[in-house]
Amino acid sequence: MAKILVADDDPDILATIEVRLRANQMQVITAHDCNQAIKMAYAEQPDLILMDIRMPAVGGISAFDSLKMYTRTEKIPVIFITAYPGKEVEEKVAQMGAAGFIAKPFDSDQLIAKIQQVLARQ
Amino acid sequence: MTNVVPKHELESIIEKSTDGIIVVDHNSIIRFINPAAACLFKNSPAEMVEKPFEYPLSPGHSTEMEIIRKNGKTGTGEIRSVDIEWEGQRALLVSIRDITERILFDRLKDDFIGNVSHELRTPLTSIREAVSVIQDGILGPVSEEQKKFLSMCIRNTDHLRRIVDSLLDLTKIEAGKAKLNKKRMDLLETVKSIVEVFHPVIRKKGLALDVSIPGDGMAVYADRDRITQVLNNLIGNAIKFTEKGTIGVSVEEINGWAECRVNDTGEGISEEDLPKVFDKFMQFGKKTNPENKGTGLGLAISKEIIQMHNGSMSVESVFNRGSTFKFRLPRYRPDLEVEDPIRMAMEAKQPFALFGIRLHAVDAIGGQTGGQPLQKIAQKIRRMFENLGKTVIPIVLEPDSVFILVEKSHEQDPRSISRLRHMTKEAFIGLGIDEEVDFSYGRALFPLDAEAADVLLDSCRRDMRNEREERFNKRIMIVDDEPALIEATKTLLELFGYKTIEALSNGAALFERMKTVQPDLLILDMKMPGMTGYEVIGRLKESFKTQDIPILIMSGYEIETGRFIEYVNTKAILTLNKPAEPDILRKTVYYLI
Repeated sequence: MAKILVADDDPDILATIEVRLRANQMQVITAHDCNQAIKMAYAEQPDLILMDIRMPAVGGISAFDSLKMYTRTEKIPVIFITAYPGKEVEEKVAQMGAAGFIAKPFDSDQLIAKIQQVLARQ
Repeated sequence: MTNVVPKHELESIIEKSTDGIIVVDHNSIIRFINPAAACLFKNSPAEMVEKPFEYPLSPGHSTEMEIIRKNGKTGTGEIRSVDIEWEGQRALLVSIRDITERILFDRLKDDFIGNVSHELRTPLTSIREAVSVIQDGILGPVSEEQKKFLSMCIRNTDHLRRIVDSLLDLTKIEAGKAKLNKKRMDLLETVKSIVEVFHPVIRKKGLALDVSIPGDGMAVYADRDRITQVLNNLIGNAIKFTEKGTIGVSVEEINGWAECRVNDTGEGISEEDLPKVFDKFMQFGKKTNPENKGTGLGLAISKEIIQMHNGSMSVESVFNRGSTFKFRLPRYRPDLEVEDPIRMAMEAKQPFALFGIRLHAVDAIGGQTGGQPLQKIAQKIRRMFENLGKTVIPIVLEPDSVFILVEKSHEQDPRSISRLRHMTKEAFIGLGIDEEVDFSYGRALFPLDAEAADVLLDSCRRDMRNEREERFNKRIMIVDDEPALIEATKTLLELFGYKTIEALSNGAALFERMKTVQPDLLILDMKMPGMTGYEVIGRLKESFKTQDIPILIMSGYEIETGRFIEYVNTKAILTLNKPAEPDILRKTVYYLI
């Protein structure tokens, strides 16, 4: 069973994504800020990370950079979610080497399809 | 009854006015200025009157300038001017208004809509996901009736998201922040591929499709994604509001425009609603099923998009008979690639200069630069302007021209054009081009020379002069006390093609001659009886009028570095050993003039 780490500062979004992923036979761990997300990624070695870009204190982009610094976490694919979509953001995260990009609000079928596609690539 | 205001009352009105009022004569000298205007320059009327007014003016149009506000901070002023008569002479009446607040307010409004749009996305995500988790039965069985209501909830969050997206899009477009990625594109191909996408939907609804597109391509200069957005909107609307009959899509050329029409046999728009059809949040027609409910912004966005392309959009409709939406886009012309950035720079209402360079033998240079000579020259010149602290947009116009927009520039200075000439030559040298390049160069200024993009471009082209012809007609003065050496240099220069060469035997003779006419290049011997070469350079550099004259030093002696260095504050001094190698002399003179 694939283990997915979801990082978002909005507890409602965490809760809904968690239920959705579980229903699709995925194991879910959640983090409500980036520091927690980095620690959990390091300790739990998830197969994929879903990460909000805008989060208080450390943002998703810097968390991504931190993840790339450790050998234990550098290979974990990251899909960014954001309420600030736009071509520039999409291009930027693609350039950084992120596995994907999803704009809020998203369609859950698209979310699942995207996750499965990235997992299949691994 | 005529409304006669006594003179002193009128004076008091002008004196107390919060708008700045200035009278500038035909020599750009301030003849009158009221306290409000002087205040915007942080000065007093007494200090400013009879001084030059340094902002370019264009009667009948408004431009913007930086001002000092009452609180001491900088802001934006709007300048307007009209022709008047002042003491029997033609003059301009200039008014300046502080519009800082207005600009700030507009920006706040745009930021507000932008932020609200983003802030709405997060709760929308939670709502949509929470409902869809229930609807999908993940948390337990759901009855068919419950599902119906849950899907209603999802449909409406989707609708809300579309409004948020469109609102954000429209705000960006209106604020001029949406950048178009314009390229030469075939409108017919785009229309065909969109029609293909809609074809199944049209068939499914039992409608006929009538496509009328000419066989050949029709090139326009446009952003394909944006034009697709417009076509999706128009064809989508046509299908939505038509229950039976035909959807028609046609493209044709009309007087240099590419015109695209989308017509339907649907419910139409009433005469009363027709003028409001492109307004925001205007929705007409019967309430269609909620699944494809519009945002009320589609047509407003479409019209803005077409206008951003300098096109136009209109509608004709007969109630209960059908509607025809049509838009026009200018046909592609190579010049549009230059006119477009010019137009955008004009919208910023700041003065700028347009420089143009045309190469007469691009292919020959292409070989030496390893391809793309125009692009490489444009980049070199851009860097040179940027090193001078200027904001520039270089535009390459195939097959042979480079245009450079130098923004916020007061390039009225006649020297700016010779700077361009030197930069161009420097760019050639920087690219390793060893030979003299045959090129023309020119300049046009906004708003002084023209206020329309095509006219400005035309004006720049008309200003273009051939560098070689111009150079051969430049006046070269040789100052040397040895007639034989003068003769040798003169013969060489004439052989190269230079036509106006004067010989002078000493410094005193040079300055006597310069009372009448100035040289474009000075070839100077250092060791002369009487006034030495050093003294000549010293005197030339002292005066504003003569400091830019390029000097070529010919010397049989070692240059005295210490004495020389103090004069070399400009690139316009080069030294050659005497007698000079003909090829080196030719290149040096080419570079200096």
